[in-house]
Amino acid sequence: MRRLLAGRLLQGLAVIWLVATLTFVLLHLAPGDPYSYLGDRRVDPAVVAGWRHRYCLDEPLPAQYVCYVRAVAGGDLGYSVTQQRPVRDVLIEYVPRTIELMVLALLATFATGIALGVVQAHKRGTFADWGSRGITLVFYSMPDFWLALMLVLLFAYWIPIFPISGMENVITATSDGRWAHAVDVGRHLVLPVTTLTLLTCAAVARFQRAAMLDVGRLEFVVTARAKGVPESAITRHHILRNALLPIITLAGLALPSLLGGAVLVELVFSWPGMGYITATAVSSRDYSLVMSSVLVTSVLVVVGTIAADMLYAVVDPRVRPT
Amino acid sequence: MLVLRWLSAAALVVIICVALWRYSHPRARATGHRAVFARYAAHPSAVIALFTLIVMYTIVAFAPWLATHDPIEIFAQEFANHPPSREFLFGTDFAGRDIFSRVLYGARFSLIISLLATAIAVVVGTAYGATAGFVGGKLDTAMMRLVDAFLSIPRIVLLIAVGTLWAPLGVTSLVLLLGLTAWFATSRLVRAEVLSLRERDMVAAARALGARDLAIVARHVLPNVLTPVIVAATLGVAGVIINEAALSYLGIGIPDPSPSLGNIIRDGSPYIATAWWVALFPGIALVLTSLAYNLAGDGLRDAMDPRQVDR
Repeated sequence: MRRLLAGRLLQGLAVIWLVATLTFVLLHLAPGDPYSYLGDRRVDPAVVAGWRHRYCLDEPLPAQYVCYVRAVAGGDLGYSVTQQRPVRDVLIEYVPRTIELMVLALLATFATGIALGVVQAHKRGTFADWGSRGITLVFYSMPDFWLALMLVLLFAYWIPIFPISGMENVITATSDGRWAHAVDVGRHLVLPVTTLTLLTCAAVARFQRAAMLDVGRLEFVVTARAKGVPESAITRHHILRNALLPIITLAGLALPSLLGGAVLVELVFSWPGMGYITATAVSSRDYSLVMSSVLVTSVLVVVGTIAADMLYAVVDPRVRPT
Repeated sequence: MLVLRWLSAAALVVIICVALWRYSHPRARATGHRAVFARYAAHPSAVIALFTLIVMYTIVAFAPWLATHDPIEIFAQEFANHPPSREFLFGTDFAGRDIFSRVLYGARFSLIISLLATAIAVVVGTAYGATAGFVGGKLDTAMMRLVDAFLSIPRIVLLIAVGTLWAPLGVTSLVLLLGLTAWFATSRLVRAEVLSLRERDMVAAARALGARDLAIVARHVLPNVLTPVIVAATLGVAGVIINEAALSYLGIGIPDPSPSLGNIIRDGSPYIATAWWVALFPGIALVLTSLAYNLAGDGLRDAMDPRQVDR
């Protein structure tokens, strides 16, 4: 178990190092450097030179690379020109918001997807089966930002149930008490989480349905049926429990698409997360911020995948190395 | 006059569909390609998907003749954000441009760009995966770790990053960017297939006969990985179309005033509360296209691989 974890961590580190190298290469192939585009902001040339010196941009390329890797490893990701503070401070403020959204979306997606998959496998071949598969596939085929916009139109303008922006924070808080604040955050989360769930639950449902049908063909299920165990009990106790295992791997694999979806969904709903800050940094060409978000998303994905692998090894002894 | 043009486009669609229908329902028992066609035609959803795609591409191919207005013509200010009417079928945007014509031209951009980008992705992914799988060893490990790294970055984040660094992108660089970020999954697929094919007797036989590696890959390995690659590419087009739209939505893709499905939605999003038609119609075009590609891909998978039973 410990050996498995060590191996996976090593692989993960290699991947992150490769991603860091990739961002370094991209930054150097690009015209200019992170501090060439200051837009209409007036910055003292001496300050800019200071940033360049701090991130070794005035040194030869190999030295720059060493300097870059060292800085990234130490958590120093550069200076955000648009936010006018170190990228690390920006990320510390915005990443937790994304993780919050991610965790809720992941839970909602898997709960919906698994439930749908179980029902579809149970009612295989009926209207409920292919109808629900069709509907989820339609949502799966939608561009994330467009679905978000349509939900805004529907549930914020036509039927005004949910707010789309203006979440309370410490400064604008009008309601007092923790509880009121939590309710406010929750109300702002409903639509983004719904968007992400609708977009990705088709993949989970399809996987779960296939797993249910695969397990349903195995001999112990036939035996249970022959013994006269009721069909609903077979589905619940025999098939579902075994078909839930491979879904854990899918949770790790679903992270990149959920995180990617979050970028534009956060933008549409003005959810103050990493995707929002990245998407708004595009037009001002804030190199450091955009490249750091590449790095941070890949770290989140790697961590999520390792967590999924470890969880799988915990619940299923067959995959543990001996 | 315009109605006549639309009718002739519809006639063309009917002719294509009838020809395909005849081809997919041969009188005698079919073999080879026609058998694949016949199996594909047995899926109602896949047939509808193919029909949708034929309609889409026909409309897009003749967009200049079918559009009701010039897509970048700005009508008088009183026509800004004008709701759908007989004159402007899908309404107009904030600048007073006809959304119907913009959607036709925008879909043209999106559909062609996504096909080209997918072609690039297929070629690069197949070459990369085949090399890694066939050579094996340390090179394989290194190449696949690189793919792992690429796959750990959500594609849209990678696209945004590159788009930010090189903005504004031209059409050529947009195609290259979309293509060069879409091959990772294909290369993994090809590598896995090649690894198993490499051990087959036919490869050993070819080698014993003195065939060189390149010849073995070209003659024995690549034709056999074609099936999963075609399926993955069909499904991949849907992803590329959506990513292209997302880039245009962010303002990194096709520059204004040229329409693309993504930037029409971008034009409409600030006015979503009052002028919903601007964002709605290009989105429907996007959903239809990507849904059609997803369904067609599923149909192809079942048709091309008879071993895989429908469950």
